[in-house]
Amino acid sequence: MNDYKFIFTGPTGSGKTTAVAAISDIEVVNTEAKLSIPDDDHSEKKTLTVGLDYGTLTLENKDKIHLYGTPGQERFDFMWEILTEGGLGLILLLDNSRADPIEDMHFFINTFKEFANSNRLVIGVTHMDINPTPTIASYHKELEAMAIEKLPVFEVDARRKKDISTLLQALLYALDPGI
Amino acid sequence: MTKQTSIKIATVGMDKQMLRILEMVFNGPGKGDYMLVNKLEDAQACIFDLDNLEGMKSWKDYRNHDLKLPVIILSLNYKDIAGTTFVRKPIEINDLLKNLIKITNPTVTTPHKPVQEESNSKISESPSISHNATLIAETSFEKQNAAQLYGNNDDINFNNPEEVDKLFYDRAEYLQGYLEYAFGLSQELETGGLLIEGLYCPIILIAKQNRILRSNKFNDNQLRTMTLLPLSNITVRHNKNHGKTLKIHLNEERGLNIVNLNESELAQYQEQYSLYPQDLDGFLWLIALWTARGRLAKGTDFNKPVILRNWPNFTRLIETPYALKIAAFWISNPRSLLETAQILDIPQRYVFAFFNAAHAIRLASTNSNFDTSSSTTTSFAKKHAKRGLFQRILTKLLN
Repeated sequence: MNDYKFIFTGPTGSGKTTAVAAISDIEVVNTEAKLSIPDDDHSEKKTLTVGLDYGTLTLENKDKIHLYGTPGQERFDFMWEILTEGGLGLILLLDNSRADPIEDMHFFINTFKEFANSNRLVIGVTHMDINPTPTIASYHKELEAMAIEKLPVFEVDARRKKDISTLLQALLYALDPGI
Repeated sequence: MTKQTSIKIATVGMDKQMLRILEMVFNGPGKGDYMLVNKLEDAQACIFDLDNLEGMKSWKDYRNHDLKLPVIILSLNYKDIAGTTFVRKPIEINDLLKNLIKITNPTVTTPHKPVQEESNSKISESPSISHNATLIAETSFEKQNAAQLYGNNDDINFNNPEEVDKLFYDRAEYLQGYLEYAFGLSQELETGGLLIEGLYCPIILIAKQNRILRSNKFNDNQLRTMTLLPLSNITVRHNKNHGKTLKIHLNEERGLNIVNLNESELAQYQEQYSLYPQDLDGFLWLIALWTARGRLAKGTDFNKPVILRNWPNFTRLIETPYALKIAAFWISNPRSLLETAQILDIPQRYVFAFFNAAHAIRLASTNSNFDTSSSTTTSFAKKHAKRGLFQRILTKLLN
């Protein structure tokens, strides 16, 4: 039995915890804490992931895919490197209702440049129903300006298993169109 | 497109929208074999819509009249009326045309089920609906079958010119062409939106937000009906500044108006017609699939490499078969449509359907200047070290 992992990352409130829960075979283990100070960007958000989220996918041959959701806040960035090491791919979730989601993308792409440059990164944009702009085309344009290869960028609802599954499928095909 | 030999059909009890659809059906799939006339006395056959008071009253009058024409009865509910042919609403165009042939040329025998059996059949369960067949109904898009989206053509033999000819259609002759034209115009707008009048209900394109505003009275089946019918004789007017007509085609009386709206006009329309937002790319993608049904737009060179500018937003688009695989392939290996089908071992119609839809939203094009070096094929053929693992994960995700 072998172990592999996918990592879900992105800013606070982008839906990482929900996305891991949407596709995990097990009930997601997470380390959330109640917000003592309201989150400026998400007044409705009552908890915050301070450690990580964890779920799994078990394959037919019993190989296990570990799903990790990173904590969103930058003060936990020391954990990001540990979590992402050896990852098959990175799923970056961006929250379109935040003040500057394009800036968020810049930050995370620069942080995880190795994934972006090796085609191991896909982007899911959440909350586009709340704020339709930037559009998906705007994200592509920005990636092009950053000289990043054509990455899959999809609008997602983190609660929908199909959306998260499609993101992961795109990641797999991007890694190997021959599968 | 009426001919001297067109059979004259009178209608009774129909509203303007239905008349307009019939007119387009007769000119489109009906190939001009039928034409509408205003008076029963001038007609060679008649269609009664019995689902409204006027229709029912007219039918009673007609029954007592000496005039005896071949009659088609339209209704939501089965009507067993001697001497008439029943066609259930929502109308399936092929069904209507088949019955028109039958009543106007009784010597033609068309295979059909007994009337009672036919009336009991559910249109949405129809196993195969031919290319021109369509439903004018309140069925959800999800229930429509694959043939409506990708056609059911076998792979084309490209050495056979006849087969190649049949592969192409002219999108400028269909609603798809007009919508793509309007899409291009709307992309130039910094504010407001672009109104299209002349369909069932107004629709508004707001390209900057990737949104289309549409009334829920204008359902998918009405829309699909319009996508299938040639609109080549419909007027298109573009009114940028309230009255300044930029483009006028053949017919002044009916047609499609394209009008620039400012923000306040846009808000007024939205309120007046209860318009709701929908993803514009998803809308154009769907129109392209419906119109093409696995064919290619005229002018597409199937031998030139395909450039896919970016991954389509697959979570909000109708995902065509093998779409993710084709997208990944084109992103890393710009190859021609024919090569793509061959290398990936995918039926051509799926490759064509995807390309056509992606082209409609300006994500895909064929490029004669692109150099397809052998290295791209090599990179595709090179098996990823973890391919087996990826395939197992894919299987898990698809289950």
